[in-house]
Amino acid sequence: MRQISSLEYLSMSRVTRAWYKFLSFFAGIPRAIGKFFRSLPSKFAALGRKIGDMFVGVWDAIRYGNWKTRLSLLFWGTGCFAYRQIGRGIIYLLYEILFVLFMAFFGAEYLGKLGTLGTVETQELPSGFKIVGDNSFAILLYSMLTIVVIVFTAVVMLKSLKDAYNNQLGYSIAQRAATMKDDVGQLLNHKFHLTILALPSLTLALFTIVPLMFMILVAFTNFNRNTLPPEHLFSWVGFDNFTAVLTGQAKGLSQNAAKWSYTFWTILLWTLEWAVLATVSNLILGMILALVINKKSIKLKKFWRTCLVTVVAVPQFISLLLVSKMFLSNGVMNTILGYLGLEPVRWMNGSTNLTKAMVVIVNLWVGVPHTVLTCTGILMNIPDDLYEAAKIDGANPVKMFTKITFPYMMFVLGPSLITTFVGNINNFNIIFLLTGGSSGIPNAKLASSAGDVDLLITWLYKLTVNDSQYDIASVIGILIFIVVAFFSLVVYSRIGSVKNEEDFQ
Amino acid sequence: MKKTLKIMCVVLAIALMAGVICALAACDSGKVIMVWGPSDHKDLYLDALKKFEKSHKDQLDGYHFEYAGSGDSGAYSAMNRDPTTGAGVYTFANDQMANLKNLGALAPLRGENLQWSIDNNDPAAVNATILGEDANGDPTYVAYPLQADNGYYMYYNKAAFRGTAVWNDETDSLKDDYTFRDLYAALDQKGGDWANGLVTWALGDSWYVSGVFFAVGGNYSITYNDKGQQSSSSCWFSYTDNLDNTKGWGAPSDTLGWDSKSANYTVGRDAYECLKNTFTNVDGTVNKHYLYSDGDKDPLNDYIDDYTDPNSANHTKSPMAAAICGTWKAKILQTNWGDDYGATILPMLETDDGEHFRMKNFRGYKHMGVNPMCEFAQISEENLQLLHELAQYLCSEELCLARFHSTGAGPALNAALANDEIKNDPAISALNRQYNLQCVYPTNYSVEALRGKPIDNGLGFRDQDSVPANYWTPIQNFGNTLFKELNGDTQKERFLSDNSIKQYLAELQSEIYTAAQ
Repeated sequence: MRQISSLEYLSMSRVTRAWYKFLSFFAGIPRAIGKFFRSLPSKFAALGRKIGDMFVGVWDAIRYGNWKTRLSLLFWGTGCFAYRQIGRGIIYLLYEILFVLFMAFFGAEYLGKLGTLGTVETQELPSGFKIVGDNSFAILLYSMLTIVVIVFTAVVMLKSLKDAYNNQLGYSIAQRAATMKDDVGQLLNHKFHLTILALPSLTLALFTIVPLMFMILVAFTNFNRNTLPPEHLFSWVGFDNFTAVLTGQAKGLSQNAAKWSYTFWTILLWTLEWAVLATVSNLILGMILALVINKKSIKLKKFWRTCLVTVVAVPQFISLLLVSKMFLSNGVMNTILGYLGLEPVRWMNGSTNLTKAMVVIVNLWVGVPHTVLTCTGILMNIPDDLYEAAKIDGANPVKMFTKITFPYMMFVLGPSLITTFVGNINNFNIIFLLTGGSSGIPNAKLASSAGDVDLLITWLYKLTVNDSQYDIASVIGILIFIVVAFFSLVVYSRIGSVKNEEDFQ
Repeated sequence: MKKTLKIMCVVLAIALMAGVICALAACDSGKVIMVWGPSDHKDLYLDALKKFEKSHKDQLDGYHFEYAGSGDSGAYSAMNRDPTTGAGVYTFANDQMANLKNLGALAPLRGENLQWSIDNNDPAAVNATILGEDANGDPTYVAYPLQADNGYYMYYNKAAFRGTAVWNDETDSLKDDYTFRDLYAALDQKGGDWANGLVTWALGDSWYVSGVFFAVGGNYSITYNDKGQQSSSSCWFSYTDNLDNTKGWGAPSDTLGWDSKSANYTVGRDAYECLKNTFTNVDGTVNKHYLYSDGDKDPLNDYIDDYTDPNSANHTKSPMAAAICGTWKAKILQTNWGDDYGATILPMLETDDGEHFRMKNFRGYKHMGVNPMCEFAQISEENLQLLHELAQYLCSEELCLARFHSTGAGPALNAALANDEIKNDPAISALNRQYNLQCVYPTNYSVEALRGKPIDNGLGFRDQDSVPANYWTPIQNFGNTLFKELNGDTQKERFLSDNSIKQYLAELQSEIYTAAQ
């Protein structure tokens, strides 16, 4: 988009200015993406340097170390024993022995099969007795665990070598190496962060990183209902699942590729439509309500606010289940219509568009109170002198809203809008509890159990829980991450509250 | 002080770690064989398991039984978590059989075990436990038949129809050859409270809709590979010629004469007309006595409870006069309708030219499976055999009767079927009458010639031994679409054009079809 000078900008009409601002926000997005990708190499280089730093001392240790230091590479802790650091030496040696045992009896077996994910099929004897073969699932999972352990061990090994070298250097100067007592003392004093973070890091690695690696790798296998272990083996298929979902072309096993891809794009479109509709409708209505309640002439302000808080106080899923019952074919709403002499309406099980509209409306009901509360907080925070000054200058209420209230609110609400938008992309509760992802209108073009009102996240749920289609589900999970990351990073870096942080006082 | 605090932090962290490790160690709760079944049969199973445990103490080698209610429909999702920690013996509905076998969680019946199953059970139920063939081309039996009552028939309120044209005074019941339109007309004739009476059947539920397709000669077939997985599936719900599948189903050739019901199109055309005529009048409008229902959003089961409950507002406004459903509704209808409670075979279906076909039952079963992957069975072949013995014991007459008394479950065991109490139960006898009907197929083509294999000898049901992988959704969609296209406010046309109905049927058939891999 063409850059214009301030003079040109000021000479525009008000409508054109607003339009220009609106357009330039979106026009800037490609540049922001470009900037992000251009910054990637330097970020990787920085990471590389950090990793490289770890090895700097290692080369010196091997080159200039004496035999004790060099032997530490093979038998960890040699360098410690030699300088009378018995405690530390024992810990290193014990760790090495444990690691060798771990690899010999557990790690090596799984890691060796990682390339094929198992070759021995489960056999059935004539009596029906099963001889269970390789379990692809266990191979993939425990391989990941083993890799994490190996990486950690490599760090420990280098540390043992560096310790030995430091001892050698230190001994030649001071004739004394740090004792066990010194070490413990350090861990309780200026290295206390290591002590206290050890356990969280360990659990993070075990319960977050290993499963995450596992889940990502599943996207590159054919782990689905036809290959469930331990009865069957699954194997690597490269990027087949991605091409199937994104382009509808499949070289490998998924014969419904065209369907997967159609379903993905259809659902992605509706997911984005929904996120925009839900966020914007909530914002507008919430803002109007907050303004109305905050007006000086409105009585019983606390009462109105309490009403809204009550909606927040009821757990969301209870409200949603209740509402979904209200709009059943023979539910409360239709009964009321019946009393009024009107025909019953198929609210959420007769038409795709009506169901979608209903979902947005019900979302208003459960979402608006949150927006109202946030907006009220911001409104009460706007300095009164701004309004007074505006009044003296002869500004009318509309002017004051567009020049003071709205910009002020948007400045504060910007980041929270992104959170809401991203939250709506993954808004499982509303869609699933209200509609189950379907309006009851069949769409034979959608794959497996996907429905016409499904979001990506509810489809993901159905894929794993109902269909055992883990390979495609993993791909969808990764794609959801990309979509969400894209909106969060790019839009976040473009909004006023981040670009002009100092403006806010 | 600061130091004490720090040391306390470390100690706490270590204690936490130790706690986690202990908890993980405690997960292994010892030598347990799980048995899964319906929750409402818990007590009777627990008693039986205790007895079995006592008499087989030596063979169990320290193992003991535990019972968990998984529900027959929940067996697959529970087993799917991990068959090696799943139940040793468990009950399941027959539509999960192929999936469970695919998990490796069903041990085949061979030798004595197979002989026991064949000798003691209803042959149709035994046939329903076949899944694929072994290397010699012999059928593989993978489970013990447990219940043979998973079917549907017509429940009706005698007060609504007594004295009308569909009534048989001699037997004080509905005439056998009634149609849906006869029931609607009878309600009009009866008048009074019944002028707004309702008849429901689940047009939005594939299990019930299938009965219409089977009635006019539709069928499906499945082939399996040596692992027991479906390798291909075909169906004849639209055209009788499956060859066109290779060319895609979008544009069936018009020259074949859809309107004139040439042999190729008979099934689809008849099924469409029969389905349509279950809820419409001759002029194409939806009859006011028909209440649409499905398994999900307009739930058949809830409607039956609600519209027959004397205290409900819906009952006062429009009482339910008849409904197609299964044995699980027998108890509540008996309570709500009292002496007027009746059950009979399914109605006749009619085409636009007045041809009549008996609606069929999609007969389902519940089976008892043995899991060769469970910890106990993995130890030795003797252990696996012990689990087979347990399954046979749980299928015995003693337990069949206990289940019947508890929930009205109809057995598959011959000895239990011969029991007078079970034989004379109105619901079970209606079901058995339906099963033993002699149905007549359309005469203008030969079923055998077109499909290679006849279905169920023209009896009043089609066995639900196993269904194609993508079976339920397309059929459900078809029934749904038909109703929504022809119904009141969203109605587009009174009668669907030949082309659009052809299109719907083509989609249905191509959805279910999967080519051999």
